[in-house]
Amino acid sequence: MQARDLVGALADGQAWSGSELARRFGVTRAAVWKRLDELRDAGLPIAAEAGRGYRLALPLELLDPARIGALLPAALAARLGGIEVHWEIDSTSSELMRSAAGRGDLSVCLAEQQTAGRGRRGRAWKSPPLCNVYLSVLKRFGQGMGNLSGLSLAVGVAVVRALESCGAAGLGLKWPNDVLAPAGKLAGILVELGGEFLGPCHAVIGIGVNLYLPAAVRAAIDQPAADLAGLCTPLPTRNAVVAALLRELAEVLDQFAQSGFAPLREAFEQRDLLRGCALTLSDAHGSQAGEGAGVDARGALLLRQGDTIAAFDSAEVTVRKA
Amino acid sequence: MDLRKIKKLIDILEESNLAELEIKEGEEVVRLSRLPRGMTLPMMTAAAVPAPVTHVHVEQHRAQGGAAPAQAPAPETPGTATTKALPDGHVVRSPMVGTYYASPNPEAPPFVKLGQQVKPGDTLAIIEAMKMFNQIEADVGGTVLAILASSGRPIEFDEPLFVIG
Repeated sequence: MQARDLVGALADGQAWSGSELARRFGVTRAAVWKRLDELRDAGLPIAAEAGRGYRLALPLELLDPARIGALLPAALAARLGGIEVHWEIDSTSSELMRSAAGRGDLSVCLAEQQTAGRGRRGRAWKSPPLCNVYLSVLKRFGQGMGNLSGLSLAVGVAVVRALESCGAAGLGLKWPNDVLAPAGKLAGILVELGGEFLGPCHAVIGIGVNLYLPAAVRAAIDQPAADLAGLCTPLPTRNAVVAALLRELAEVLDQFAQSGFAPLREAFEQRDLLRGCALTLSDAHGSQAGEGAGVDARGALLLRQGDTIAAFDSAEVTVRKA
Repeated sequence: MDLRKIKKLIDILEESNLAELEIKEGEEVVRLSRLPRGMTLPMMTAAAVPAPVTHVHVEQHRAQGGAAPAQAPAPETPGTATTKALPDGHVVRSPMVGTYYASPNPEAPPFVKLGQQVKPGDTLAIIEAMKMFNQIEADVGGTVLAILASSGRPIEFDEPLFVIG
């Protein structure tokens, strides 16, 4: 009995007794308890109910390439370079970066849990089993890395559109591409580039969406966090969330491959949470204050300082409270 | 001394079994020594056997009154210690505007150190812009002769980052 099988049995959200589970998998009850403990330690919200058994705090469907494929438009499903689901992996983006050379355009890598989920500059991305969606997509571009400016913002637009289509409301983007709900960060995006500057190149687009954050995981995250469970009633299945992300992502990436960020600028600015806010931008040089003034056609952040507007490609942005 | 000549000398040292090479030319002295990774210079001079895989450490200084220089501590940067010009070699330039990072995260050691041998495809640095990360890879093999950017600093398109020779 693998952990994955046990989770598969609990996925429906119904209560199962220890002996039912032991019978089903042909193992001892002690073996079931041991596995359940491991899963709990990893952050999976399993409740034990006296007299009834074990159940998940909410139904959490296992990811299934066939189900995801069935939820996609046929033309898109046919274009994907494959959908693979790992029970556990260091990071879905690391996997695609490692094996990019042998993979086709729009290869999709998913994991039920990550042992080394990554954020910006090596920051950890909390990745408990099943509670979130960890999705990476390999996208190939013919025109060179020099033309990919703004890609990370375009992906942000796709993720917001996808989560809105799942029923989430009140979402916005914090430059370059943090997806924020009123309660905090809902999704994070990390784009890694490889290949040539002027020739063929590829991007590995990593997306982490908080689906359901158990209290213990939420407490361990160093910033306010939101989850889809708090925003959508009913909560869409995990396979449906993945399908929505792939659908919107494919559309935005096609548009981007054709004409870059410029046509997506307006869509970004509609959700720009920094416009008109008092901002502090900091890097190794020091920091500067100004007011958010949108983004330019390349995706650089515009900062108004008195009568002048300056564009920034890279900086740590904090919003100053009025 | 001509930097091209230094590069030649490095090649000669690389192909040889020598642990150290010192050339005097008029008033200038160049001393090259091979250091196994992680070993310090004094330890190396004590070791009699040539190092297997090498760091090549370049020292260049003006000889005083024609005499061989005292065992000065090795300057950190071979190329920039005595000259502002780039050492002769293959220049790796930034493919994009962004922030330069020498290590995968703030706690980790840098991807490469000065004098280190690199193979084509080895990661040298990361450039970040708009939360897009671009691993800068060595497109040639050789020795890292100069590191021209410092971690966390903004970098311009086409700015030289490394010299590999």
